[in-house]
Amino acid sequence: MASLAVRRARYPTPAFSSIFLKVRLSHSSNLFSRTLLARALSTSAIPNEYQTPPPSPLQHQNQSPSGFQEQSNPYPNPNQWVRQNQGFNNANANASQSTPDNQNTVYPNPSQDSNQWNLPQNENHNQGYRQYQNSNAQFPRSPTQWNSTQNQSYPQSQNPNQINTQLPRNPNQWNLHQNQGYPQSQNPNQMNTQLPRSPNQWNPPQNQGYPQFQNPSQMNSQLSSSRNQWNNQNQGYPQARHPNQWTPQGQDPTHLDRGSPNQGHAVENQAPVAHVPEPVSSLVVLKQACQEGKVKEAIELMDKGVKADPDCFNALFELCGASKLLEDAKKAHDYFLQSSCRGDLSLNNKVIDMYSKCASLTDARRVFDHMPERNMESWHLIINGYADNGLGDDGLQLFEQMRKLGLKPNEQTFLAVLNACASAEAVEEGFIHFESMENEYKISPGFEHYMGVLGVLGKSGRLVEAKEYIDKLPFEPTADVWEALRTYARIHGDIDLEDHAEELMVDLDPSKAILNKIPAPPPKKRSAISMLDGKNRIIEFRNPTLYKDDEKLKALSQMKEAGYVPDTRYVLHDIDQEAKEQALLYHSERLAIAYGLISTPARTPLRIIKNLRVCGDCHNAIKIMSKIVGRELIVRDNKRFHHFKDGKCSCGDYW
Amino acid sequence: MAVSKSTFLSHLRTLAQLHVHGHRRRQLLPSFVTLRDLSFSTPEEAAAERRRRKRRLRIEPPLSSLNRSQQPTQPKPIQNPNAPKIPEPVSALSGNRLNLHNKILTLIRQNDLEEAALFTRHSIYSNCRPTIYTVNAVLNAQLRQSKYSDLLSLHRFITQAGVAPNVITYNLIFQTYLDCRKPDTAMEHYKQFINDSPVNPSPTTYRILVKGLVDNGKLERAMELLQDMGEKVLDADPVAYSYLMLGAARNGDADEIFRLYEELKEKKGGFVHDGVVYGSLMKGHFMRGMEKEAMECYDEACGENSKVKMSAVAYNSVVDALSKNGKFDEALRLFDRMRNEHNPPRRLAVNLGSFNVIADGYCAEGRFKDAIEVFRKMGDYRCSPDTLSFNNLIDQLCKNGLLVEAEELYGEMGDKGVNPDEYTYALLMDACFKVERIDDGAAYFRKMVESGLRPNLAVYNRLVDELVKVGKIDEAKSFYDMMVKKLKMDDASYKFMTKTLSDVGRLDDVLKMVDGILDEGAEFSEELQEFVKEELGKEGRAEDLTKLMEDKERQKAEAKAREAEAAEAAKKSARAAVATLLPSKLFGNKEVKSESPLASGSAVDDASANEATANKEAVEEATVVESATADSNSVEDTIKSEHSDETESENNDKVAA
Repeated sequence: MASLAVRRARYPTPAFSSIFLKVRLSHSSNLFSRTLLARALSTSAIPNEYQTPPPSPLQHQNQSPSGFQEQSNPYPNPNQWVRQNQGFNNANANASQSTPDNQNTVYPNPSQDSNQWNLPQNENHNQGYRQYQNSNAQFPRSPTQWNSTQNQSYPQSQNPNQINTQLPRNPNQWNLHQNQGYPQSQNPNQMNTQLPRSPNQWNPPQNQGYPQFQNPSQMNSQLSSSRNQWNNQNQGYPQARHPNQWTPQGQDPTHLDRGSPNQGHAVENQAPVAHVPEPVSSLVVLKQACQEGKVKEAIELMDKGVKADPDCFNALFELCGASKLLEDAKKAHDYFLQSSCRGDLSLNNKVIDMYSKCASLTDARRVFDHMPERNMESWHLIINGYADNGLGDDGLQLFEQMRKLGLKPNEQTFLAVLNACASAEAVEEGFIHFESMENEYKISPGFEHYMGVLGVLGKSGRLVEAKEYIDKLPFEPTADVWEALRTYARIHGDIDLEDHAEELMVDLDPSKAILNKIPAPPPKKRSAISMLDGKNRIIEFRNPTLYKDDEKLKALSQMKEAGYVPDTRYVLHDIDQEAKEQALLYHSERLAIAYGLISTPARTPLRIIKNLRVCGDCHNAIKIMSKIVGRELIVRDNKRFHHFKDGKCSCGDYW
Repeated sequence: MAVSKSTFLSHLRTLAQLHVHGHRRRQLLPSFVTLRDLSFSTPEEAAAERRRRKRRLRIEPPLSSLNRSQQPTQPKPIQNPNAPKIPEPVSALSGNRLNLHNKILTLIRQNDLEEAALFTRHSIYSNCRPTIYTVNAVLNAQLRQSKYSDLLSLHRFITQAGVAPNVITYNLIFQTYLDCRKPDTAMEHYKQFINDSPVNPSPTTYRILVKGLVDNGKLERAMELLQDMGEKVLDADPVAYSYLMLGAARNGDADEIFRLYEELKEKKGGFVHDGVVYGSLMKGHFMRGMEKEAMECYDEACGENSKVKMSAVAYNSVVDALSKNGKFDEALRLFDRMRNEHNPPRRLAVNLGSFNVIADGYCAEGRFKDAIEVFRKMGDYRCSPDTLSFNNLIDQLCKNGLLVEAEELYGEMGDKGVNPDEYTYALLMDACFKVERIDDGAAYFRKMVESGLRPNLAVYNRLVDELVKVGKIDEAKSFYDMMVKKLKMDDASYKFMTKTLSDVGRLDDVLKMVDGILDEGAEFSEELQEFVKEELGKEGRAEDLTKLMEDKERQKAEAKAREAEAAEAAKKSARAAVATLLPSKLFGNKEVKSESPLASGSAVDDASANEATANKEAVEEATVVESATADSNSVEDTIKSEHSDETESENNDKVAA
């Protein structure tokens, strides 16, 4: 259902959506991503093949599927395929391959209805279709059956409706693709579009279906999903797969590496759009991409030479800021600098904002420094940017500069300044600025400013002072104030203050109550609350140090943790003692463990595989490590598995 | 537009001053915007000071200064790797690290501090290092539960791990040392903090230190600290002053109280709004016999239309001053008013201390029933008693011979979830001895030791003393046997036991005792030796001691010899093991040829074969199979579980947010 909704939302974007949809749909499928990954690794040689477009579409077509399928399925070329598919007759395949015209005639019919698709009586439009139908009949498979079988093999539930919803878009799509189909330059794209389908180790019948469509024209027909049975079937296939197949393409970095941007992933499917003669539509497309949050696609489009308008940049900068991807941000900024609107103030501000969200203040500052003109907003953005990235000090310096320039700060400026003070833990300065705001600039502080000062105190760890500050506020503290204090207390780990603030907050605004709150354990500290000075005479009665027997116990437990002593018997080279100890440190299992430790969260077990037998010194070291890092370290050497846990090894030191 | 900097600054200064005056006038009205007496008149000064502090640590100059100088090739100053680091900003607490923080906060709430501390440690060795905030949360919880040694060990750990502490960490450490009654250590840490740390102290730092020093009886040091505080960036803090005044009151130094009050008043512009100082001030007046002034002071603080802000603590000190100086009726009236004012959570006018103070007052009046009654009512005001308040009341009752009531209270402690401590038991034990209930007293002692508490030698001595006094030598001996393994006894205790035993003629036991002492390796001083000899000599068995001691000497020497032998043997066997494990030629001529080359021949061959292949392969590989693998999409069960963990923590995150 969710996927359906996505589609509907995309509905007005005819050109890409069918392609992107596939990307979207497939987000969650792990199963597939695994196969895809495996594929990506094993077929690393293939991209080169793609990059050189074969001389003619036909030839190319013939080559490529074989190239792909060799790994995954045993049908290197259509002929073979035919042989294996007893059900299909050769003629059928040939006919369809050799009659692109036939197909083309079929496509432009826009009146096709989705319902018709699935219905078997959809016979007419071309010969190929009919034959195909026959073949289907021979295999006891109707389109619906298809779906069902596919559902079995892949857990993704396929909804016939989804297929249908694609239909209305077809005309546009189709046209685009038709254009693609013929020029040679389109080939790589086609190849790529095929790629995701062919690679998987699908049940043979599907792959059988495949070669039939290998002719360029047919390819197009597949993509555009015209309404003949062909398409129906095609759609049946790819749709079943798409959820799985496409995602990784869009997401998997390995695919990105394939070379030129055209070839990478889903984007490439769009690339043809750029070739569409009318620039207007490309701009529309670009806008669409921006609106839909497809940063990558948008940048691809601009790589293609599409000139973006200010609205696009606006949207794009926001997107890049939200995604925090500096690479994209830089690209977008590059194109912005090339564009005619590079002097636009508000867009420049956006760039600053974007860079500070991407945590690259050097870039933000460069933009800021080179701005032809700045308004207050620019200053606020850069100061806030510094503050948010923990560089409040620079923010404050800028504020000084700003005042030296004679600019008159306003309310927003002071919010930014307070933010910077909070970030730099400059409490005193925070108060000075807060006061100068009223005295010097005659701005009466608003609620946000008080919250800003509270933030200065709270973020710099002055919790007690923050609490006192709240008590002194000139207005009744609201739930928001207490909530802020609660957050700060939580950050700094002061349970009591957190509970107190929360209680007050809930008291003022019961809707904020947290239901499954664990009450704080009662404190055991005695000096906290008592008013009775001098009554705490525990010292007169308690033995200040540990008892002797306790000490012994402790010493014993410390002995167990005793340090690691390098055992240089295992270094066989004729080097001096120190060098031997040094050499022990670089045994590969230790390096592997070290890497594992810094790249996984705490408490997850590590599995290390080693091709040689673990040496005694490493064995000891790993035992100690497992205790110190509190993880299970599973090391397989060429003799056996060692499970190191809590300073012990499952092999019992015998291996 | 271009006001030159100097004019601009002076302009600013005058404005600020004007404002200060205006503010003072306004403060007479009830209110508000805190104007703090700031130690810097301009932000530039403050910033300069802050930057100086950082720069001293050779921390890189701010980003912008590099830009401005337009010299990107400027060489970076060489950083001292041992220089203290700047703590991470709050913005570091995000993503995974925030999830970790929340996870650990949950553990703290579940009071699973060991797990929380362990998790924090283990996270150091992972791809998600805990922030200093997380560490602080754990340290704070440990302090709250009085787990001082755990706290210090975690602190040492994170210091070694290079997690830079922030001001809260320092505060917690100071608090810990002061709570452990180690003010000197705390002050050493403070000195180090001031000299080395890039972090500025907060007012709370000084409050903690002043209070701790006063509580530890180091009033002068606390005064010095206050001066220090004035020099630093901070403003006069009434709370810190109140601690000092409290300390002065405890010392009976009225002059000091007045001096401190005047100083504070002056710094605060003629009027102190914080009520915490008034109780001590009243005490000062009472001390001087100036009852009238004291009551005026009371009116000023608690009268109608008072502009003084009274917190629960402020009230408590006033109530204390009243009840200790014969104004208990007034104190009761004020207490009633406090209870009426009390409106949790918004207004907290009563806390545990109030009940302690008022119960104390009742006791001083001899109204013990009332004291117990008001103490039991505490729950109605959302206060829960702690061990200290129980101890206080039990102490009062015991002193006044109300042992039965005291024991009743002791019985209540368990219900309220309060654990008795050494103080409680010792009080009860002493009270029992006073009314000749020796057995009950001994039972309390036994219970104390069995519940893992650690009474000191004085308590033990009192017990043994009493037992011997009533002739329960056997029992005394059994307590001796119990404690001698635990306590480090001094000569007096040994002598006492020796004397007791020899008095009843149990010289064999005395010898056994000496035997035990010698076995323990405890110091058997000359003096004690003489004393024992003398006691034994009375029965003519002085030589037994000499004999025993000689025996011991000999045994020790034998044990030593055995040890050395064993060590030698171990060395030999280790060498043999090496020899069997490794081909002897690899040792070259350095090592003695192993005795059994033939016997270990096959093993050697194996080993060398292994080595040979290893050398051929030359490439040794080890791979981490499992990792967080956000990048690899392989689906494995383990990873699934990780994912679920992640989502779970994300949920936590949401809850927190």
